[in-house]
Amino acid sequence: MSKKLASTAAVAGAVAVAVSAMVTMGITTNGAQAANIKCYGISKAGKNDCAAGPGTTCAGTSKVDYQGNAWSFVDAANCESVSVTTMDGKKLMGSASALKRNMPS
Amino acid sequence: MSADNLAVVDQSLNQHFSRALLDPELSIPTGIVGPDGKSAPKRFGVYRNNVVVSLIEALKDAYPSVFSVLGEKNFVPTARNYIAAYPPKSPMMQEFGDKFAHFLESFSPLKTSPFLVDLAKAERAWLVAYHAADDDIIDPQSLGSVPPDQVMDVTFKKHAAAWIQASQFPLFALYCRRDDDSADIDLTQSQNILISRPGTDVIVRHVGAEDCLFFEQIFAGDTLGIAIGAAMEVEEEFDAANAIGILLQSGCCSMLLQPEI
Repeated sequence: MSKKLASTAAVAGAVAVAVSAMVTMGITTNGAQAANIKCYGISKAGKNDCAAGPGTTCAGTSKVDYQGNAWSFVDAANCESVSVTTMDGKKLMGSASALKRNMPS
Repeated sequence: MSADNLAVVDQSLNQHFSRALLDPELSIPTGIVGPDGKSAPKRFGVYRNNVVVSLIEALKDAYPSVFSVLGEKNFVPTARNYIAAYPPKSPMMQEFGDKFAHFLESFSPLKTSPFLVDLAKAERAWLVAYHAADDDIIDPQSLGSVPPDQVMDVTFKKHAAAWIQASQFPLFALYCRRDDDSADIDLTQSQNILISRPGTDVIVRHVGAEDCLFFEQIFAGDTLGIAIGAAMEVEEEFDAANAIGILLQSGCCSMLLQPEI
């Protein structure tokens, strides 16, 4: 195939139009990422979300309440402001990375 | 019996066992006994059936649109043939079924439906995209900040989840069968798809022939100037701004490589 080149002006113009359209729509790297993130440590036992696919059954497999390495999908802006109150009245905060607390023994 | 001999017996039992699981014509492996110590062919039969049925279910889960097009009646025998030809090789079930498109290509009962091959490839790409590693995606601002005289030479790195597929069949409509099986599909149409996963959700979109060519070039590592030029060769009115917009919005590229200054 011949490697024909579009003109510099045309390419630069197209980039400018495309980028300004994205900016107008408020799409930046963060905006294009799905608004939901994995939020760790806030799932009740057996209520964690999971990536699916044939033969996978890991959704709902966390063993204890608020297990540190189990996650739920929540809005990115909210994860670290989510708090849950345990049976003994302790307040636990969500985390965007896996935690070591409340691991099943 | 020495440990060496035991290992040999184990290996031959394993081979016979796994072959007999997928071939009902084979005899029950020696050593399969019930609590009474007698050979237990019926118990083995139940187990064999469970294995095959669960693999058919897994294939159905991985290829919901192929299943929708074929229906239970045609899908199940197709799946049985596939399982016998390509039994699972990995303990990770999401990898099972990876040769399905290849298998359909040469499966003679379905020779009259060649569009199933493209559809199976697309559904596989969806699953691969779903399980692909997280990756950075391009920030529109960083492309916007490249000086105009260098923008031609910009190249991109394809995101691990991204996939472009040209098809002479209505691939997007066929893919959508997984969500809606009531729509009529005109098999004379040609549709191409772009798959990406900017965050945690897989996005499948319908792209035109010239956009498809553009993304093929971009994913192959060609410069923006070459990709736009190639698309313009097939369609003089190629809307480059729209194609770059799709590139930015879909999150199909993980990196912007600055040209040398």
